[in-house]
This record gives sequence, structure tokens and C-alpha cells, in this order.
Amino acid sequence: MLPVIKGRVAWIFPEPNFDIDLIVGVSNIKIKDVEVLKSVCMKDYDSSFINKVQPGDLIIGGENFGYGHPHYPAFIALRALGISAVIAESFAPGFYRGETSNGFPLIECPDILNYVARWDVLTLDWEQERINNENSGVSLRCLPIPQKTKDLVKHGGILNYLRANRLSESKS
Amino acid sequence: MGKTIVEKILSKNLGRSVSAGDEALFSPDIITAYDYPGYIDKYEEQLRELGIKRVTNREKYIFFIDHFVPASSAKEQELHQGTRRFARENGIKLVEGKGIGHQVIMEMGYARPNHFIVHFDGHISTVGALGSLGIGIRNSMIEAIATEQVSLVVPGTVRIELEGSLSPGVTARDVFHTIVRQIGPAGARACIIEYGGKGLKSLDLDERMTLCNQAMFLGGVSSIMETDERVYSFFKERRLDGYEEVGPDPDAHYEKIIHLNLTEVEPVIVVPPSPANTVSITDVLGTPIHSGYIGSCASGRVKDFEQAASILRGRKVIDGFRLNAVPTSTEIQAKISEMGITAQLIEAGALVSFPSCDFCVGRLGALADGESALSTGTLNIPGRMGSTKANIYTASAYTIAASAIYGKITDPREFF
Ligand code: SF4
Repeated sequence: MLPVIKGRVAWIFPEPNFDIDLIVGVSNIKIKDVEVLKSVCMKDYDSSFINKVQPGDLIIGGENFGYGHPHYPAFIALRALGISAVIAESFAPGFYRGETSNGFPLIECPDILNYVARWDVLTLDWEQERINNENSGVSLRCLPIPQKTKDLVKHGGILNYLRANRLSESKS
Repeated sequence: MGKTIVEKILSKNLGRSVSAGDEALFSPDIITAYDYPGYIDKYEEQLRELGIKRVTNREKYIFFIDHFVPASSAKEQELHQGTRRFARENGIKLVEGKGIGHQVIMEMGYARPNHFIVHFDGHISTVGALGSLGIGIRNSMIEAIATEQVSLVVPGTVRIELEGSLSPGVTARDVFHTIVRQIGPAGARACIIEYGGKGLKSLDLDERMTLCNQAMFLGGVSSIMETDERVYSFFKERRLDGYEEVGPDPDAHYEKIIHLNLTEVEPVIVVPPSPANTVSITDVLGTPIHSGYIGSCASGRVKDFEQAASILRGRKVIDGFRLNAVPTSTEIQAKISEMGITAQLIEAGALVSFPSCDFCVGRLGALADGESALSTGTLNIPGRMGSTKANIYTASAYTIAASAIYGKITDPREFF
């Protein structure tokens, strides 16, 4: 089943071509320990972010979000803090492939920056492919969500997806 | 309707016609990887989790050890040992000490025209210079390794039609960053960048590799180029088989067609903190610089060192300036030494290193707080080459050589 995506907008990165390594700081991208990653996460943006964020919260991004060399620690940290999806105007293709392979929902919504404020509550309608802003009542159309992305999210990542869809003989 | 190069390659791969937007399972001709914590070691763990003992079709694989080269700690050596063992157990070709994989894969004949190659890392797009389609598939590497197929939506194509030829003091780096400046860092987002036209023929393969390498900084999935006599010679000189012509159909459909006259391109500088920020060199002339790096999978080829040496010959790097010249492969290293370039660079005061990724990530030649570097590396985000309080400017080998003489950003055209 696809997860329910309903959460507050914990942060908005309106800048285009945002390099996600900045979320933990480039000097921290070799860190493996999740607790340490959590402690450095978003420090340059909001020093008390980790105290404010709660499970289900969302990140909003601009155009070509994930540009550059997107390393994994930033989203290991954000997911550990409870972030449940990123909704952006568009994503850099490498970042998109990488994070969706990790089973993490990335949703493209061209109008998103115009209709959200920090801490608004948003819901995603997977069927209708719409984002609803519970605070303002505005409903926005997303770009079609590829079936592969839905499958990866549903299975919680590439390994379970492969087991269920592509390696059926080895299951038995 | 006619097809773009990527549509042709992927149609051939699938055995039926596909166009941009079609999703299918494609079979990579080559699966390549490098070791780094969380890469090959992780694929091994994932294979175990999937209950797969060995990779099939091991001739499709080539692995590289190009990061942490040479190892500087027991821990790094242990990582390499794990890769060596995994490769041995699976009968996978492993290449170490020969240079950066994105380069060596071409020199060894694994990147052929019309072939489809997958890697974790998007800079595999470099192989587009030989008419090979290289795509960085990130964490779906395990999809390729476990099933030998990857699901892909055939990307649309942005065509870059090159005309003219480069002016003195101007390089392929300037061309690429000028394109970023012209169409924006998202200008080819989610597309293949297809280069062609008369101007392309004026660029040698080293320059073409530089252009293809950086597809991701235009938001691209990869780059690909039309092949010609020069590509054919690349194969012939190395006694490699497999040359085929690569080109689009005349009535192919493009998302965009960009025209660029190479003659009009001028030296540019990418200023911190992102590959998105290109400015004209005249905007930053005189900026103090402490260190220079000519190398990486983007540059560091014979052409780059020829350019640097043409400026540094008979001149000296200013005292206190550290100039690191890092050939991308041992083939290049041998070639520049045969050509006398190594001696000229050393004479001028440069440090000429062995091939390694490590300068590109600041494991070697690191920057301290407050320092500024000029680099032909791929990325200029703060912290990429050491301190997060250091500034990284990206530029051509000509610009770096000229700036090394004065210790500040200098227009290389002064030397022509
Ligand atoms: S040279 Fe730099 S960008 Fe290229 S593969 Fe090595 S570390 Fe990565």
C-alpha cells in the first residue's frame, strides 16, 4: 500500500538547483552514524530544526532540486527525523532516481512554491495526483507520478521491489 | 518520425522501436562501478539479501579502484581488499592504479559506440564522446546487478548544434560553462544532451569528453555525441574493435535545439558555491588564488596539460602557489611525459601527481579556511576540496596556468 502523505511543511527551499549536501553540510557527508547526521541536519538553515520537526513532515523545493552531486546522508538524516516526502517544482534526474530507489516519495508539482507557507499542512492524493493545502484549501495538480516511483515507494525501496516484481523465481 | 541518438541506441538495445517517454527494461551492455564506502560493498550486501550468490554474465562488468588511491590508511586498504575479493569471487574484471574509471573504461575499449553503460555515478556520461550512452542510475545499481536490466523512461533530447571553432585561450570547459550560462543549470533537465554539427568536428576527443562529462550540471541524464573519423581513430590506435557510426535521424524530434558558435565563446569562471554560477572571467580578474588543480574525470587529459604547459613553458608558478597537475589515467600520464609536458610543468613549479580521484574530493591537496582554489574538478560546492570556508572557482587549464603565474585570476588570452 502507498503510505499516507500528510504533514506539515517543515522547510521550504525556494532556490532553484538546490544542492542537498548543504542540508547536512558538505564536510559531514562521510558520516555514517544516523544520530550524528541528525544532529548536524539543517543547522545552517534553522538551528532548532531538529526540535521542531515531527514525523510525517514535508520538505518543499524549487526547480531542479537535488542538483550537483547529491549524496545520501542528507536524506538519511531527514528521513530519520521523520520527513515523509519532498514536493518540488522539479527534481534533478540523478537525485530523483537515487531517492525513489530508496523508496522515498518525491513528487513534482510545478506550482507548489506559490501556494505554500512554512507549517501549512499538506496532503497528497496518490490517486488523483493532487496536493491539497489544508490551511488554504488550495488543491494543486502534480505532474504524473511514474508507476515505477509508486511501486518503489509501496515496496519501501529497490530491494523489496525487485523481490516482488523482478526476481519472482528466486522467492520460491 | 526519426529518432535522436538516445532513441536509436535504446531501440537497438530493446530490439523494438522506442521514443522519448516510453518506459521499458533495458539491458546494459556494461555495468561499471568504483569502490567507495557504501558502493561495491553495499552491492555485495544487497546481493546477499536478495539470495543471489554470483553475478551472471560477468563479462559485462568492469570495476575500478580510483578513489582512495593509493590508500592512506589500513581502513582504506581494507575497503579495496573487499572489492578485490568480491571481484575475484565473481570473476569480474577489476582495474586499479590505472586512473579514473570514467576515463579508463574508454581507453580499455569497454565504451563502444551505440552501447549502453550503467554506473552509480552520473559522470559516466563522459563516454558519450565515443557515441556510448552512459547513465548514472544511482541506487538502482542493484537492479542492474541483480537482474541485468534497468527500467528507464527514454529521455527526451536537447540538441546542441556547434558551429565554428575555438578562439585562442578558450577551451571545452569554457564551452560547457557557457552553455550552462546560456540555457541555465536546468536547461536540459531530465534530458539527454546530444552534441553535433560542424563545430563538434573541430574539437578533439579530450575536449569532447570534457563536454560530455558534465551533463548533470545542465540537469541532464547524460550526453551523447555524433561519431566521426576522430572516434574511429581512437579505436584504431588502440587496436580496439567495435567502431560504429552514431548519429541521429535527420527528422528526429528534440525538446530544444541550441545553437552555439564556438568562435564566440570566451573564458569563463564558475564561482562558488555551485556549478550553476558562471561569470565572465573579466568579472573576477585579480581575485587572489592560492592553489590550482588540473585533473578529475572532467579534465586532466593530454589536451589540458598541453594547454597548461603552453603557458607555463619558460615561466614560473608564483612562490607560495600550489599547482597540482593530476593526469586522469596512467595512459595520459605516460603520454604527457613522452611529450615532455611533465618536465615543463615540473620546471615551472607544478606538482605532477599520479592519477587519482583524491584531489577532486580534497583528500589530497586540501584547502584550508580562507583559501581560494582554481580547479578543473567537477564541483565547487564549499567543502568539496577541504575546508568549507575555502572558495573553489572552476576554470580551464589555460586559466589556471595563467593565474598560477600571478597568484590571482588572470585572463589566459594575455598569453596569446
Ligand atoms: S574525478 Fe571527481 S567527480 Fe570524477 S569520479 Fe573522481 S571524485 Fe568523482
